[in-house]
Parts: sequence; C-alpha cells; structure tokens
Amino acid sequence: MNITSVGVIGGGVMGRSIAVDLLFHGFQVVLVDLSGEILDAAFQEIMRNIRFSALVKKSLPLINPEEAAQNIQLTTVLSEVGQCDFIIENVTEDWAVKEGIYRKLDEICRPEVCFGVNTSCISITKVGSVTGRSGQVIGMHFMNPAVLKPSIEVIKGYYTSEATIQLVNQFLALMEKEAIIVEDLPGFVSNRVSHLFMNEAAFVVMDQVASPEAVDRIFKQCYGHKMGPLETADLIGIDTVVKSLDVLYESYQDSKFRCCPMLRKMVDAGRLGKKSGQGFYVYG
Amino acid sequence: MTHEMTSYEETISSFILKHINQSELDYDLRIFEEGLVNSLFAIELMTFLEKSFKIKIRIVDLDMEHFQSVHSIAAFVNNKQAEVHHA
Repeated sequence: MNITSVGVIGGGVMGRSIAVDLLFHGFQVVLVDLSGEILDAAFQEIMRNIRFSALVKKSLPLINPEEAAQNIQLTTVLSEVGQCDFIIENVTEDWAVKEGIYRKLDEICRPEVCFGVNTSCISITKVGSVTGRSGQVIGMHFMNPAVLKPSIEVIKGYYTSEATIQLVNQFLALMEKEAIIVEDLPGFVSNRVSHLFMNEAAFVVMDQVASPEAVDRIFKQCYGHKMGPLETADLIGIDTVVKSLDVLYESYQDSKFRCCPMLRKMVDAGRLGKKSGQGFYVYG
Repeated sequence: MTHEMTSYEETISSFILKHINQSELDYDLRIFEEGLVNSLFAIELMTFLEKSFKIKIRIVDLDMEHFQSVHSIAAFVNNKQAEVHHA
C-alpha cells in the first residue's frame, strides 16, 4: 500500500512535531484535535517550524510555508481521517481516551489502514484488542523534535503482523528514519528507563540534595547527555510524566515506579513544564 | 559599537538568560556548541527575533553561524535592520 496521506490524531506537542516532519517529507496531513483554539495554536507552531527547521537540520528540503499550509487540513471532526492511508495517534496518555478513539477509528478507516500508536507506556496489544485489526496496530514512539531524530522506537504488539512492520519500515524510510523494533511491555525501552531517571531526579530536588540546574548539569556536563532529566521532564510535560509513571507503577506493581509527590504537586499547581511556561524552570 | 548594537545585545542576552535560568552570559560564548541551548531553542529564538526587532528571517538567513553567540545574533539583527531601512 502506498502511503500519501496521514491522519494525525492529537495536536499537542507530539502531534505538531510529527505533522512538521510529515510535511517536510511530502505527505498530506489531516490533523485532528478537540478545539479550534488548539488547532490554531498547532498551525502557528507547525508553520514556525516549517520556516525555521532548516537552521538546525541543513539536509531538510526547502519548502515554501504557503505550499506546506496547503498540505495540512486541521479539523475537530475525527471522521475526516477516513480517507487517510495511515494513522498516527498522539492523544493523552489516558486509556479511556485512547480506547474511545480507537473504537471510532476502527469504524472510520478503510480496513487495510494501519494504526501507529504514539504512546509512552500504554500497551500496544491492549490498543489492538479494541479494534478489529490488531495485526495492523503498531507502536510508533516518536521523540520531539521528530524532524531531527533519525530513529524511532517501534513496538510490536502481540498480534502485530510482519506485513505491518514492513509497511512501517517503508513509511519511515520515506521520512528518513529507521525503526528500532522492541517488544510490547509497559514503557517499552525508552520510557521504562527514562522515567526512572526523571522521577528520581525529582526526588533528589524534593529532598534538597541539589537544585534542578545542578541535577541537569551533572547529566549534561559529566555524562554528556544533550539534556538533563528535569529539562526533559519539562519538555515532555510534568502531567504526561506523572501519567506515564502511574501506568508503569500499575503495570509492574513495582515501587521503583512510585511517582515523586513533588511531581503531583507541580501538576496540581499548573506547573506543567515548558508548555505552561513553568515547571522545574521558568520559560520566557 | 553603536548604541543600537548594545541595546540589541542586552535584549538578546536577557532572552537567552531567561531560557537557561542563569544570571550572566558572555556575549562571545557559542551558546549552541557549549550546550547552553539546544535545537528546540533555535526555533524559539527565530520567533523572538522576528517579533522583538520587527525583522523578517528568510530561508537564506538560516545559517547557524549567524546565531552562535549574543554578539553574532546582534550583528545579524543589525544587518537585517539596515536592510529594512535601505529597502
């Protein structure tokens, strides 16, 4: 099957980032979210990234923002992805929300269409089980900014077929990416490990062992990481980190995933990280 | 150095300092190479420069050399302002 149009469900941080990547690589995009306000903000950010991403990745094709704008449709109506050749879903890490979306997508989309689940922790097998096409459901864990990442973590659900894996490999090749294929257990590889770092870093700050700056500097300047764990948590969104930790804790029943109380307090206070202007750091 | 350049440097430096949560910044420090800011910040910086200095950044301007340090960013803004005034 030829993929020319992609339905992106969810216009948050990752949905926007993936839409930019798809537009740079010549795909038609239908971006769905709940409100016109979110979609307007998403469109502005997508266009900014289309204009300026060449600064940070020289090999990107030079595309005219006005032409790119013609290749993206923004809508609050989920059924408008009905004609898309592939779906990438990025809604909130909440099973009740995801379940509802997948049941609807299964009715809306053509039978041959595959669903890429962009999730931090939710089981791909479980997502597949609420559709009539579990062989065509596959985890696609993109990282932000998608356009700069050469690889993504791809997760095989219990029933994900070889044909689906092949299709995703071909699709990713068109996006100049490679799949790193892993099995389906909660958190996969990336989040099962990275959330331990972020959570423990939050405990370190709560216990007044070090400031957020000091924690992040140790990771950057001593370990050579590009970002520290608390900057990363701010970028992902503290609320998303908390939700992922809760899923990991519930899945493994292992106390190592118990969420740092300070992270919950930050969520209650609206300090969600970069997207709210304040998390561990304050943003302009 | 012109009064405008000094003022550009102060505005740019204060934007970067806010982002990195520090109180001082060497205007010659190569902020990307030194890991003070990352590629995500580059997009924010472009948006900030366009809004704050009423300039239009074009595709041909997207060369990281222009944006390595406070000095080089201010020089870039200065040149863009000159373009506007001569247009």
